[in-house]
Amino acid sequence: MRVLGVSAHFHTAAAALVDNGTVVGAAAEERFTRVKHDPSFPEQSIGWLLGRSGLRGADLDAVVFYEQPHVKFTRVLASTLSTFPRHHRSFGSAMKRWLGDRLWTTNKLSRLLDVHPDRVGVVVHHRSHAAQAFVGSGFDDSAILTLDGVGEWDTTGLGHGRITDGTLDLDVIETHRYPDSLGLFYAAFTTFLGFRANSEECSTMALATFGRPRYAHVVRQILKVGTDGTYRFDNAWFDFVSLGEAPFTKKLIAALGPPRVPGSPLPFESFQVAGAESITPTEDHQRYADIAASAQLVLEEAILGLANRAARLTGSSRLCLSGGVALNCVATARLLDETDFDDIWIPPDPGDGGAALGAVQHVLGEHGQLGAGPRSIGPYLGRAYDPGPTLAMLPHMGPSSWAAYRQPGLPPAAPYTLSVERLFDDEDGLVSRVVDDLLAGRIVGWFQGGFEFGPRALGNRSLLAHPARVDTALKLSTRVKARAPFRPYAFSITETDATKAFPQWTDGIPSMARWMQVVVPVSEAVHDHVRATLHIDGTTRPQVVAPADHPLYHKLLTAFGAETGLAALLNTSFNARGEPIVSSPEEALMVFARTDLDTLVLGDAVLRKVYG
Amino acid sequence: MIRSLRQALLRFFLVFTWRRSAKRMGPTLRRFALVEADNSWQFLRAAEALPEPHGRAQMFLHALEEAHQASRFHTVARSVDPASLRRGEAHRQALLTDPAAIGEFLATVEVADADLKSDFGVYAQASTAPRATRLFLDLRDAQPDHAGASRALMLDTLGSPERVSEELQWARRRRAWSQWRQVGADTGDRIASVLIGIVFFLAGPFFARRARKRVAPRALRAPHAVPESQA
Repeated sequence: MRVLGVSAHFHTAAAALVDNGTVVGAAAEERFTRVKHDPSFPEQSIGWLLGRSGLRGADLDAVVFYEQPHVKFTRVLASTLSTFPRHHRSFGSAMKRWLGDRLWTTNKLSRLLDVHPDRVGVVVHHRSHAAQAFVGSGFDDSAILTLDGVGEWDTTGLGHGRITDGTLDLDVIETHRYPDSLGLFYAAFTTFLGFRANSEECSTMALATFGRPRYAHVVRQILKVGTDGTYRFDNAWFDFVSLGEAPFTKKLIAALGPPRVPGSPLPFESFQVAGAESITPTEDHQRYADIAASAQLVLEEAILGLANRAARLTGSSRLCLSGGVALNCVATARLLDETDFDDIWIPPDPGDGGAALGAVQHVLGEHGQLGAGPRSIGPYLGRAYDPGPTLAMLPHMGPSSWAAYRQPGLPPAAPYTLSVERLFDDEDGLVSRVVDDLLAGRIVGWFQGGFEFGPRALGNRSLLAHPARVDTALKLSTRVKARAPFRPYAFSITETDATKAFPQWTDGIPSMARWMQVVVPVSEAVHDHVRATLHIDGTTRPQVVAPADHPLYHKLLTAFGAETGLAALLNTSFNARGEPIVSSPEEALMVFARTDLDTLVLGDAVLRKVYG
Repeated sequence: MIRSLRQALLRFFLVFTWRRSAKRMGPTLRRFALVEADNSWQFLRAAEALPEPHGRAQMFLHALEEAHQASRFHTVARSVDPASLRRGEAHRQALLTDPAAIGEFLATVEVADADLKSDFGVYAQASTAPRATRLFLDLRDAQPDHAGASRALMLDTLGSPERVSEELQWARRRRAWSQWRQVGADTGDRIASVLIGIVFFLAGPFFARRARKRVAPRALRAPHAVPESQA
């Protein structure tokens, strides 16, 4: 059965294609358009998938959209009308968007792909998320929690999944409806703290570590968590219709003080350089951190309540999570310690992008077609590129022609020449050169194979650095990524050495640690090895790499470990500030040319800046 | 003449908007950042579509230049009005998909770029933020070199000045047509806004109560006991 899944129009559009049990690929539209979290209809992702598979639209057995546009429209209509007459502009723009385009998404899919309308279907938003979480876990029986902003009307779903002979039995036991939304709650606080809603929630989470939850009593009035694990949101404090602008009411400002001006400085640092002067936050800065800590705490309480409720209602010993809120890896970490689940799984892309694949898995499950392929998928589902043509153009330009286009705001670059070395099948040579560079404190752009499906860089589009060298991490923050200093880095580590860094995992490595989905404390015994990747509370968000996950990356980690005593590397996403992770070799080269990235590995080629 | 008229109108308009507060410049600067970022993306896609290394390198360098200008606009927009950065970006569609149409692509981008940058002098005069003024003047002053480089690239690609002129003429016609269509779309959009507004205010009162009921928060089924200090 050939099924194409599509998600679009709210947050990070994507497409995924499965052809007779084989996942052809899955990609977020942002990787092609270079617009971060691009929600627009994923024409380019679809085009790539069809091109890769050699299929035409007419060859597809089913095309499925990840939610029901007509039902969602009723929610948009009700939410804007409920504020009558305040939001007449929001109503106008929403109606134009919906009546002019979104409402007819299935027709558009049918027309664009030349597929008979009978073969174009929809899956309920939270069922797409549930299938995405459960099917990829490999479990045959599991409780499922979908924690989202909002789908059609539902915001949170609690269900029970079973797979028998390739057939999916997905029982959605209960749901929370708009406006009782954990995702919108956290997004609204993210806006209050001066970050972008639906994009910079990770900044709120990182900032929370610097605060104390002294506003928790206020936040608990906004999000009331019951003893039975349910919750309710009081929308007297927020106005979700204007989520992107200023979604808070006077009541909230009276209780918490004025919101932070976007872009204003936040003098918190996740790591300190020995001897450097520390900056003391003002009262207002501390207030923002305390508000973040309070919102984070109450969100964690709500998720814990839901997880315990899921355990009670399903009787299952396993839990699968999806929805954008599942990316809050501090909250999900508490599930490891404070619930009775034996194993917890979060897919590599738990957000709306991943729901495109979830919709496909749902359709396959309905038809009893869930073979091994759609059940054991890693994150490396995106487009792969041949770096050859990019390398061929290098003799026609060079550092002198790049110099004028350096990223504004960076300090002047040291003069350098470019060395290019192609190693073809010499994998050991490639690894040894990269290890040498990392040991020398150089920042390496690591570009291999197909790009990752999901928001994390997991060894195919990664920036790598020595995890012990704080000076390198600072350089990475200030001269490559222009990243807020309060946001910590994470590390990748081999399975073998994970037990050294995380001795608490006596029962084995949690599934959540495979794709950087959980924040955990690091053993003090290895702090000196990974100093640059620790948050101020001594935690990190690890990627535990097995040889089968990514043989070359595992080899690199092992070789680095042979030199330093711990097979771990600082790993962060390969992108410049405000941009999606790079997709093509040209995009990687652009970051290399415009910033202080020292080494760029494009497949089997090593490009190095030789200074002096 | 059309350009002079447009610039006069723009000058008049900016006196009433930008002079009131530097913050008002934010959305325009942001828009320019998006246009330049889109140009960069177009050149990058064009580079990837070209198999020949020299042309590919030229496209890549153009993409770098446009990305640099986008970053400069972005930085200045953030300094005058950080909130302006929250606005969304337009959907991107690659102009060049067939390497054989490279001439058409270069002419289209060149005409659009020259059109945009010809107004930078007017924006510089109206600007009340020194960083923005400097940026507009820099780009205006760099435009002749930029245009020269683009022409040289077109000449290199198309082979003769006649072909370059021909492609540029066609590009101007296509741009005029697309601008005309844009005016039509904008007018239609405004008419739709007015009509939807009328429907909202006429029908809204009848449905608002029902809508409020549908989105009203419900009571918690099993509330925690609230300590007196927090009640």
